Amino acid sequence: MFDVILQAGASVLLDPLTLGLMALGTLAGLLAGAIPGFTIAMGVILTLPFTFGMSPIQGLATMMGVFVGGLSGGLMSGMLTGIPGTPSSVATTFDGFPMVRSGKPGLALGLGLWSSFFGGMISAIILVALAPQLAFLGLEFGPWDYFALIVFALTITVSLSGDNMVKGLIAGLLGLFAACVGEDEINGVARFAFGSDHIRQGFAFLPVLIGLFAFSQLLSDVEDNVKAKSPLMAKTADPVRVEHRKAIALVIKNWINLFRSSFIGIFTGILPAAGGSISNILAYDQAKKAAKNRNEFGKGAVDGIIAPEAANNATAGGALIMMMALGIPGDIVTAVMLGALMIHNIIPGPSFIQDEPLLAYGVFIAFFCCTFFYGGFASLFIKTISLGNKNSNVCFGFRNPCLLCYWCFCTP
Amino acid sequence: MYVLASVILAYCAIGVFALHNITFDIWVMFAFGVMGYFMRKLGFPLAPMILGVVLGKLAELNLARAIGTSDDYFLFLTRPWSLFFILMALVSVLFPFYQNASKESLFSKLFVPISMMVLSFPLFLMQSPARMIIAAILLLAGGYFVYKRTWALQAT
Repeated sequence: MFDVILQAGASVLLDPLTLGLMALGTLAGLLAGAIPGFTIAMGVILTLPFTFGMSPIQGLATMMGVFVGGLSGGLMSGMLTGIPGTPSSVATTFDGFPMVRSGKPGLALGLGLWSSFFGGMISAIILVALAPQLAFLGLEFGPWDYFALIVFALTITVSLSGDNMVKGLIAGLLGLFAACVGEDEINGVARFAFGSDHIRQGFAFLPVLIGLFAFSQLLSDVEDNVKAKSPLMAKTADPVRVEHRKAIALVIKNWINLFRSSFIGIFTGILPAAGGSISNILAYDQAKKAAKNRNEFGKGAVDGIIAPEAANNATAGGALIMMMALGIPGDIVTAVMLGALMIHNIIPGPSFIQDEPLLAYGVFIAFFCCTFFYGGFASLFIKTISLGNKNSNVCFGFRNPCLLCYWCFCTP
Repeated sequence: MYVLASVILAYCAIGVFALHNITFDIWVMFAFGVMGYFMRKLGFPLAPMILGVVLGKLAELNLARAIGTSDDYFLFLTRPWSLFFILMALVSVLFPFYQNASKESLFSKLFVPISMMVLSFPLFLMQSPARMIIAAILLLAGGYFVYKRTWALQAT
């Protein structure tokens, strides 16, 4: 087992290209997370086409970077402007924004950054420890059990994702319907093909996903006239100096809160469909219930920043446990990763970790590594954002790289 | 945002096209994009649909295998893991009602303990010592809470 981990570690860490891609992914994720209305799932979906040409491990490592970066990128805009960058940092603004306004922006950002980092670390450790065990359990499953597991994954998604259960059920059934168009897997009978050879092949996973998620998001964004014309990020006031040392000391001092929130995050991640957007609010509520100084919550309490940020990063590890061990995606982001694996003809399931140990442990190590990258980049990035925002408009800064990668695709 | 959106849209189309080099894929993306837009407008959650698309093929494959292996449909209810997940699915379907029910009602008081007791049943069926112990703990804890929240309250 240990030599497998070492081998996988070497394949990730000693390959400069993979490292560079991870760094790039983390940076892109941070940026995507910081822009309100640009969710993590969309960031990961947009990275997906880049990964076609890469090896599976490189592709997954890149997406992992976007995932980890995006989960915490939202905290910066959330704290500085009061508008959460992603749904997973909604609860961070409850206490982060008041703390920034009361004149301690450096401490608030530092707290968010380092509790994200530690939350990610804890969940990475749990991921490495738990995923192989769960996969071992999964080997007992026959087709009956697997089918029942999928039914459970779908029903819990329906009951957690919306206010209206009937609408959720309709959406889930529409998804199942879209999946069954084309030839069936066992007998090759064409369904709903209407004589077209293209439809007979079935809908490819990626077009459906990009259409449903990215395309429709953009359509509804553009519709809003006022929002569409405003710059993507509000300007912040003064350059901020992040107080790293004080923040780390405070996070470690509140280790009970850190661990509780991380475990809440991991658990919500393991549940199919419940992602960071639920876990951060859950953790915030629990921290508030457990705290002695309940009155300080909402006015800039330290615990109120640690809890949601640790939880939302820990969710990533939980969602990955489910995806790696049983092949059931824990949230939309891991669903996209599952799609990426399928493109490379790798189908995750209970035997995935045993069959492809290098890839599986490579992903675990990439998750560790991205968390470190995130810690480094976030420290740098917070400074650049708060310095650069004075005279530059991030909208343009973001548009140009977009155009660039667009051109890259056009040239070959 | 208009510029950004149009660039990303074009980029999505190119990304989709690059996968199989078929223009049909772009049409699929467009059709599902429009569908997703209306679903958003009408308040349908997108997560179940995406999970349905991802897991649909897998569910179908496993269902076909299960039915192909044996004619006995009751295996879905007699195999312990399968029963466990089906019960979990039932609990998760009832969960929104639990959230909306008032704290005083009998349903909200008994939902968690009874689901604990029900879930312990398939664990007993698995016949491994560790799981039997977990099942026993679940059953006892569930029973204790049921007792405490109904009969014990009436006695006082």
